This record gives sequence, structure tokens and C-alpha cells, in this order.
Amino acid sequence: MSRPGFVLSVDAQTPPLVVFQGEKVLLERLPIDASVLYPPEALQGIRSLDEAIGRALDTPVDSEPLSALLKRGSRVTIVFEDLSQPVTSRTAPDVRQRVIELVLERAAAAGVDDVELIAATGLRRRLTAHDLQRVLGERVYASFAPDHVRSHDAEDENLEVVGELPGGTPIEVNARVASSDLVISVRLATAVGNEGAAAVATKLIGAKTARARGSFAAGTAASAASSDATNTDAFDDLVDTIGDKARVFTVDVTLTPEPTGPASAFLSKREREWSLTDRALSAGLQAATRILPARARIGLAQVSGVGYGVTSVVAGKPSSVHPLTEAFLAQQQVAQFDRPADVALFGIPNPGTIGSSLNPVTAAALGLGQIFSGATAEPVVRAGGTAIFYHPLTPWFHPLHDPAYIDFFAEVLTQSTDPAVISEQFEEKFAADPWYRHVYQTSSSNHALHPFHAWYSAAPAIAHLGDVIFVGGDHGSTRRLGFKSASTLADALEMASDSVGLAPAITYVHGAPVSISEVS
Amino acid sequence: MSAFSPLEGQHIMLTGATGFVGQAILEKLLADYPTTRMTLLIRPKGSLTGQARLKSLLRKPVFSKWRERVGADEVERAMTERISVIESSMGSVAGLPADLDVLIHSASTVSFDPPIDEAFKTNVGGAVGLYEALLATGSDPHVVHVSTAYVGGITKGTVVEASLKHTIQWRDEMAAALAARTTVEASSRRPEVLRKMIADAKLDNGKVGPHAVAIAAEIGRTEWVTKRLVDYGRTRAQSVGWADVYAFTKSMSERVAEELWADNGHRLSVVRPAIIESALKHPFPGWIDGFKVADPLIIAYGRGLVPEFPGLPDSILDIIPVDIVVNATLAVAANPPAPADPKYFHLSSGGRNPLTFREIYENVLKYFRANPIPDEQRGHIRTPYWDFPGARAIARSLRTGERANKLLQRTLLRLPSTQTTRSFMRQASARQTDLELLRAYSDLYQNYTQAEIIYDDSRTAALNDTLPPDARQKFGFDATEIDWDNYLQEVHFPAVTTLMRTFSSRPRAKAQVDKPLPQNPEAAAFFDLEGTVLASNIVEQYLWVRLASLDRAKWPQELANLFGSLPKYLAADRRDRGEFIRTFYRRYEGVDEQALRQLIHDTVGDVLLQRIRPEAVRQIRKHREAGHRTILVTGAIDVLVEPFVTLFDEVVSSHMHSKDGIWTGHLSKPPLVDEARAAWLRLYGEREGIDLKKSYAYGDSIADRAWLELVGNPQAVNPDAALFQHATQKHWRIHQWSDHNHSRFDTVGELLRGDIVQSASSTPALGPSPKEITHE
Repeated sequence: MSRPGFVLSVDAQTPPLVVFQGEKVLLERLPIDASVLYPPEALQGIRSLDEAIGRALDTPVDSEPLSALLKRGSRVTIVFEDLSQPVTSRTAPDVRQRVIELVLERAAAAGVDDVELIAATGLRRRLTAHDLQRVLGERVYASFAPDHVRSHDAEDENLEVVGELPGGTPIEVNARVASSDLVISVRLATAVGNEGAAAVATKLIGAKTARARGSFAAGTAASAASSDATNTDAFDDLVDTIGDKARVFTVDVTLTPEPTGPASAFLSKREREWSLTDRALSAGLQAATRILPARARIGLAQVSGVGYGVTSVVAGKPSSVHPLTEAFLAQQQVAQFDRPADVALFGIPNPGTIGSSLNPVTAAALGLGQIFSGATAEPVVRAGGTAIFYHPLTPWFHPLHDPAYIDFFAEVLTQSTDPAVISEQFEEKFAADPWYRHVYQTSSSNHALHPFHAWYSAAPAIAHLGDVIFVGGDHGSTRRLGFKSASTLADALEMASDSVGLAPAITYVHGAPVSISEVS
Repeated sequence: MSAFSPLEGQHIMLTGATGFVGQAILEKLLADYPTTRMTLLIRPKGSLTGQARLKSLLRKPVFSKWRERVGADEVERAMTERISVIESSMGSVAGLPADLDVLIHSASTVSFDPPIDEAFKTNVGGAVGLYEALLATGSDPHVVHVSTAYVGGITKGTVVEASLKHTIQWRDEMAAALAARTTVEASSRRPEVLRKMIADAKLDNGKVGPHAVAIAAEIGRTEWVTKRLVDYGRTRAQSVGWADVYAFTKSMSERVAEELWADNGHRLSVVRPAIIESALKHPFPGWIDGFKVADPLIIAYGRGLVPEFPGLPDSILDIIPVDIVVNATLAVAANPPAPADPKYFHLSSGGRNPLTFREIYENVLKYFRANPIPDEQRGHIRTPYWDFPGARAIARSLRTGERANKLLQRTLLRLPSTQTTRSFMRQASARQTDLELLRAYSDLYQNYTQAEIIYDDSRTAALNDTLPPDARQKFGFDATEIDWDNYLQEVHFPAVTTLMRTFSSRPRAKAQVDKPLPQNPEAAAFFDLEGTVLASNIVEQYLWVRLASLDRAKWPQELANLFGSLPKYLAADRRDRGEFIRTFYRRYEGVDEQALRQLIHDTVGDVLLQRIRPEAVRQIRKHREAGHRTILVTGAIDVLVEPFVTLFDEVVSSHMHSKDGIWTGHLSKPPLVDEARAAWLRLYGEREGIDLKKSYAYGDSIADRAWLELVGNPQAVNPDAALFQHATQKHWRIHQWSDHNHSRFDTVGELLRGDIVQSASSTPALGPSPKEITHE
């Protein structure tokens, strides 16, 4: 058992604290009396991973062992989380590869020869060959490529209807998945709330279904409904089986909330307890981020952000495994806090995804949609309070991944930042655009709806808050997103003083766990 | 009203009535000589008849006071009863009235530096035609020949009011001047000259295409002819003692008047005004019709464009207000000399009320310090102090400035086009305009501002003294009455600056706002690919294809090979786009088309997509929404264009010739570049019923000029230096689309890491490396 989280009250002796700002790491001195919420210390990673996986597969929860489910001649599809989840290790094989290899071993032993691998990408971009190799390992990739491993295609013309959404929109899912006898779902989860819906089918639906499910109106309706804890999701019927036939067997893997590589481990330690080595490393990192140009800093973050540890592996019937995983993750929840603060501070790191920084829309969605509401059960800021984020919001977009984001940023956000207006005026146009569909299907671009859903996910937090300030935010793009930019924390607090007064209660949520989860 | 009524009941004929002095004389006659009848010799202009020109003439500001005073009916009456119009051009005058009492000949060229033949035709030929026609009528009017004080020529000291002393024969000069045109035209067609014209035209238009070169060469030749003829004029004038061809031809035309009119026993007076400027009193203080001799300089000074000037501070700038010229001319007209004894009158101020250049400068400085010209968005312009360093020093610094600027512009044209070089280019071209202006002024005014001549006007003064004292207010023309400080500060400078403001106070161009494109199903939008839609070129495309298909160990070799051939390609590209494309595509020799398709599909397509400009995609989408047909026209190979095909309604690209699925390195048809593309576009528009005038075209290079010009809305996208220059001149829309937020280094890195490459084993090979292929 690890140490629980706690709340530190900043006093004169408190050292500067680590704050992530995109690819930079700052050491910030916070005002006296500010509260700092430290998460519980990371659990020890599992040492013998293969053994743990094997045990989970052979003694699943509420299910026969996997080998018993695999029958000669059956149609098996393995779906796995896409790159929205971090790669668990740079040096050792990814945990997904390990799980899938063990699953495949059992399948081979049972004489199953109709096996396909599908990345549950939802509306996210297709995985490139290189991405697939990194997740699955060269051996798995080589034996399935190019025809039996691919990404889910939300614009596929051959989708299968397996249900209906409340509004009457049919639920269309990946045809291969729906026509399988057994769907083995390999899922990763890092932090509270990030595990997503219980049904893996949510990441295997068609664009029309996704649009109806993720529309702004549906989102507000759902959040109203979820408050009385009786959220009747149309996908509840798709948790254990998808359609008439496909039975789902899930393998849930939980990860440490932060990367635990040797170089950057100190970043998640409590600053008071830093060793001399940690201090030296910190000084080095500070110097490096100061000197290096932005582009090189991204590389640095990737090198330093080494793997996540695996804390648990549970397999079995999804409806039974899902609550277990959530409960396990809840242990990692940030310490209790007495009352909501006037001002909350959050750092937004750039997750170590491949070769790019976060574009400003994603960064904002990450901050407001996920970090803000994900780290604690309740919002840390009172309604009408101020949230201060650390992120440069540099208007960089990946030319292949983000064409819809580029246009969303340039043409939609310049007209309005109101999700209601945006969904009414622009969503249809983007959804119907043939070019976005073309690059989504043939290149590796996120789906045209992706920026919309990202933006909608930030809407509840924006509505809850009075002011949103980005420290170090690019002036132009911060403005365009409808926020304010400040060059330092002091300036940001000065700006906030109009609404929260001169002596606000400040809470810094230390080292908020981050992964770019499915935003839809 | 006094009893003094000169020219009573007389019939006056006036030439050059639409000119500055002509208008003023006409106005004065209408306003203050109620019984005088007038005949105007007016040249029809375009579709406007002489009568129509008169009508619009009478609406000009000079008549405003008179019109106000007498009312519309009287204006109408005067137009029909007092004025008659004879349509004619100088040199061919027919049917002059036989009952003329006075003829005032004030028509002349307005330019100081016209080609020699034009100057002679107007100033000398005009006078000959007029006086011969007048002789033919057999009548005996008093001719007042309006000349200029500067017929005195380049000299020092006082010039008296007498016939010019020289032995130059106007007939010989006239004949030589007219022959000069023939000579120059003939010599401009010599192969040596034409070759140079073609070479010059190629330099600027070579990449546009052969047709553009031909057009430019012919324009160059005409310009050369004009320049030569101007040079003929100026040099001939200087060789016989006049400052410019204007003064030269004016003095020749005095001789014509003397010879054809006075020597035939008629009455002739010659008036020689100096620099005529705005009115002192009549019709209202400060009336002026456009900029006159000294005014551009005053304005240029006020705008801070003239840092120094080659004038002598003690030289006299002989300025005379227009109403004094008018009164004096009419007084001369009313006092004819004896037949065959012409009289001469200087209308000048230098003799009795001199205004030195220094005084003018001080007044100008004072005026513009008190009333600075606003500089849009930058407060007001600060005028410079002059310290008269002398003509030589100024000429030297001007020459240095011109050379430096020319060199800068040349260099900029060769540098790759970036935002910085474009802003430099804009500055350099603004600087060039300033320098040209300065050069023109310093050439033009040299003779005026360095003149050490005094025009004696005692005869004019004596004539003024004959006026009854009570008539002087209305009809007087005493140059000593002018209070220069008052005239310059209160009358003249305000007049010219007001004029300048009405000319140049166009509403400031607002930042271009993207308006929705007009709906039009007959319009089309044509896009170029490389450099326009794609931040890339065919060399780069090739490189990506090559690198993606090659083993990494072979990269250095391939790169070395490509860079080694680069000079050859650059040279080809400088000559001709098509030649470059042909030369470069030889590198694709031996490529297996099927394998290449696979490669594009798997990996290189993404590399190319990374180079696409998001603004281009948005623009294409806008055109589609407006119902325009979107068409990609490119010299690139069809296979390489495939990743973009869905963006457009139609794609026109090159196709490589292949044999058994292997490319031969030759194109199957000539590439659609520069004028070939223009020809294609014209044909396409006709066949498909596209309204080219309503259509759009996007290109990035001067090679695109020919086809961009064909549509109504040409747009330059991140233009190269030459196209930028052209687009700025033609007011084409210039787009600055973001180049790439994904740098080429990233792409190389991704290729290296294998992010993009499918896998080494599944990548098809690309045929033999070009090093095994012999070029040339």
C-alpha cells in the first residue's frame, strides 16, 4: 500500500513546486497559505508482468478461463486501446503487446485461426504501421499485417446495427467486431475517470452514431442525468455482448498515474523530499528547457517521459471487471479537501505522444475537460471561481493528424466559442466534408468531429468557472479560445482578483495525471 | 464700373482655351469684357465634340465665381451668343472667321520633355498651321502670341524684351525633328537593338513564356524609341542654347509668328510669361488648374521626399500669378503695335520684385512646419532642412543612391521569396519611386533653380502705367504689387496642398476582409499545385519518393547525386519551366509505375499531405461552397498528385510515358506550364462554358503569370519575387499562406525512424538509381 495523498499548506519553508507547462517544467513558488493537493504516491509496479497477465487470463472474474472460451473454428477479434493511451515502456515491450501475445498463444493452442486485431480508435486517427508496431511489437505485427490488423474506421460503409440510441439513431458498430464469436478487449487505464465507458463498443461505433452520442445537446442531457446516478446509457446492453453474437472478454490493465522512468521520477515526488540527485536533475531540466528551442524541448519531454508502471491486471466479464477497475483507481484519488477554492492551479504537460506538441484546442480540452474534472471527485474550484492553467497553447497543429483541428481553430473558433452555436452552425458542415473523410480514411487524420467533441468536453468546466487563465499562453490563441493569458502566476492572480478578490483561497492540484483519453 | 472698356465689341479668337492660361483668359473675357465675342479653337477629344468640351469646360472651378454672379441663364446665353467653337486640331485649321480683331495663340504642349517630333508638331507645326490659315482669310487681326520667358535660353544676366537673337532656321529644325522619328524607328528595328530588347524581355518574362517575351520586347522597343526622341530633343535644344525642347520649340514658334505674320505686314505682339502659378486675386485667390511647374517640387518637399536640392540659394525663381498674366495679355491685345513691328513683353517678377530660391525654400519650410502633411497612421511628415551643397554633390549622392537601390532590387529578385525579402522589395520599390521623382525634379528644375537670368519687364510695366488708376484694380498687372510672403503662405501653398489632398486622399485601404465568394456556377477556380496548394516542389516530391524507397545506407549517395545535378536544374528552371520539368523528370527513368503507386499509397502520400497548406484546403472548400468548379492544373506527374485528387472537381496533370509498366523518363505530352497552361485554360473555358472573367486562379511563380492573367480574379500565393512585383503593380490579391508547421527535418526524422515507412520489406524498390542513368 502506498502513502495516501495529502494537502500541503504553503508556508515560508515550502520549496518551489514542480508545475508542468506543455513541454516545459517550471519550479513555481506559490503564495503563502495556498493549498497543494498531492495525489497518493504511486503503487509499486507489478514485477512479473507475464505471470500477472497469465493469472488474470486463467482466473477471470465472472467468466470461464480464456482458454475455455476459445474454440476451434470460432471467430475472434482482439480490440485494443489506441495511442490515446500512453506507451507503457520505451525499452521493454508495451503491456498491450504482452497481453496480446499471451492471448494469441492461448488461441493458437485452442486451434483458433480466424483472429483479427482492431485498434479501438473511435473518432481518433488511424494508427500508422509504425504506431501498430510499437504497440503490438514486431512479431505480432508481422504475422497479422497488412490484412488482419487495422484501425477501426468510423466512416466504413459496412457497419452493423446493434441497437438504438435514445434519440432513435441506430447504434452502428464495427462489422468485424459484431460478427465475431468472441471479442477480447485489452484496455488501459491511468487515472480516475479515464477508464471511460464500460462498453468497449463506444470506441468501435460509426461516425453517425458517434455524432448523435457526442453531440453537445446529448452531452448536456447526459450530465444532467448523471447527477442522479441513474445513468441509463444505451450502451449498457453492449457491455458484455455486442449484438446478438459477440461475447466480450475484457483484460483491464491499470497504470501508475505518472510516468516512472528513472530520469524524471523526481517530478512526481514531493518536493520537500527531493534528494540531492533529484535537485541536480531538476536544475538540469530547468536549464535545458530554458536554452533549447521549443521543437527540441518536445523531443526532450519524450526522452525523459519514460514508461508507466502497471499496477494491476484484471480480466473477465466486463460488467464485473469495470467496477473493480474503477474502485482500484479510486484509491489513487487525490486527497480529500475541505472546501472548494476560489482559484485552482493546474499544470498541463504534453503527453509523450509521437513527434508533436498538443495543439491548443486539444490542450484546452485536456485541461478543462479532463484534468479539471478528473483529478478529484468534486471540482476543486467553487462555481464562478477561477482556474489557472499552465500551457503555452502554441498554435501548432500536426499537418496529418489535425486538419480538422486547423480549420476548427481558424474558422470556427474565430466565429464563436459557444458550443451550442458551434454545434448548430458548423458540425454538419465538418461532418459532411469529403476531404476530412478522405484523409481520415486514407491518411492518419483525426475525424472531422473530433475537435467538436473535444471542445464540448471542455464546456461544463467553462460554464462552472468564472475565469480561465493560461499562464504562458500564446496571446492570440488563448484569446481565440475565449480565455485570458498571463505571463506569470502573479499576473494571473492579479487578473483573477477582479472576480475572486485580493486574498483568494488557492489550490494547486499537483502533478495531475494525464492521458489523452477518448474525448467523445 | 469705370468707363474704361478695352476690346469693346471686338471679336477675339483664342487657342488653347482648355489650358491653364486659356481658361483664365476665357473667364476674364466672360466676366469683365461684356461686349467681346469669342471664337475658340478646340480640339475634339475622343467622342467629345468641341462644343461638348466647351460645355464641360465652363463647369470648371475657374468659372464658378462668374457663374454664381451671372446665373445659369446668362451662362447659357454667353455660351450660345458670345462664344463660337471651331473644331480643329493644330496644324490643320480650316475656316477661320474673317472678322477677327484679335487672335490670342496660347496653345502649346504641356510637357517639358516630349519626344522631339511631338514637340515640333504641336509648338511649331501648330503655329504654322494657324498663321497660314489666318493669312488665307485675308483678314488683319492683331495676333498675341503667348510664348515663354525661357525662350531666352541658357544665359546669364538681364534679358530684354526684344526679338530673339539667333540664326537657327525653324524650317530646318522642324524637318529634322520630323525625320528623327523615321530614323529612330528604323534604327530601333536593327537586329542589334532588337536582340537587346529580346534579351531584356527574356530576363523579366522568360519564365512567363515566349509570347510574353515578344510582347515585352515590342513594348521595350516603343519605349526605347520614345526615350531616344526625348533625348534627341533635349540634346538638340542644349546644343543650340536652350534648356529643353519646350523652350527651344517655343522660340522656334516665335520665329514662325514673326515670319509668317509680322513680316507679311501684320500686327504681332509676343508675351513671354515666366513660371505661371496660382491666381493672386482673380477669379479667386489661389485658383490653380492642376499642378504647375514648381508645385510638384513643393509637394514633394512637404512630403519629406526631397532631402536636398540642386538649386542656387541666390538664384531667382521667376514666378508670376496667372491673373497678372491674363490681365497683361489682354492689355497687350488691346494695344496693338504698328504693322510689321512686333512688340515683346516679359510677364515676370524677377526684374522688379525678385523672389530668390532661398526665400521660397524658407517659405515652404515655414509653411510645412506650420501645416505638416499628415502621414497616414504615423502622425505628420517632418520636412527636411536644406543646406544647398551644390549641384555636383547632390548629383553624386543621387547617383549613388540609384545604383545602390538598383543593386538591392536585383539581389532581392534572385533571393528566395520570403516575407522579409518581400518587405524589403516593397521598401526598395518605394525608394525607387522617390529616387525617380527626385531625379526627374532635379533634371527639370536645374535650369530654373540655377538660372542667373533676370527678365527685364520694363515694357510691360510701362503698359501697366497707361491704365487709368481706377481700372488698375480690375485690369492691372503690376508684378511689384505682389507680397511674396503673403502670396506663398496664404494663397499659393494652401491652393496646391488642397489640390494634393483631393488627389491623394483616397480612403485608406482597409485590411482585406474575407468576404464570402459570390455564388456562380459558371465560375471556376484554378489552382497550381507546387508552391501554391502544396508547400513543396517537384524536386522535393522526388526526394521523398526516393528516400522512402531507398535503403537508408544509400541516402548519402542519392542526396549527393541530386545536389550535384542541382545547378543544372536551376539553370534550366531560370530559362524555362517546361525545360526544367523535362530535364528533371528524366530522373524517373526506369521507375516501375505499379510499385510507385503502391509506395505513394502506403507512405509517400502522407509525406506529401504534410506539405499541404491548410489555407489552400479552406479556400478550395469556399470555392466549392460558392458553386465554383475547382480545378487543379499542374505539371506534376499524375501518380504523385493522387493523394490530392479528392480535393478538386477536376485534376489536370502530366503523364509519364511508359513501356511495359516502366517509365521511360519522358513525358507523354508537353507539360502544362506557363503559356501552354494559358492556352489550355482559354480552350477549357470555351469548351466548358466557364466564365473566365468571373473565375479565380491561384499561382505562386512568375511562370504562372500568363495564365493567371486570363481570369478576372488572379491571386498570388506566397509569390516569388518577380510575381510579387507584378502582383503589386497590378493590384492582384496576394495571399500569405502558412508554409508548413511541420518542418522538413521532422519528415526526414520520421522517415529515419520509420514512422511513415510501412516496413522495409514491404516497400517496393524504385528501379535503378539515377546515377546509373546517363543524363545529357
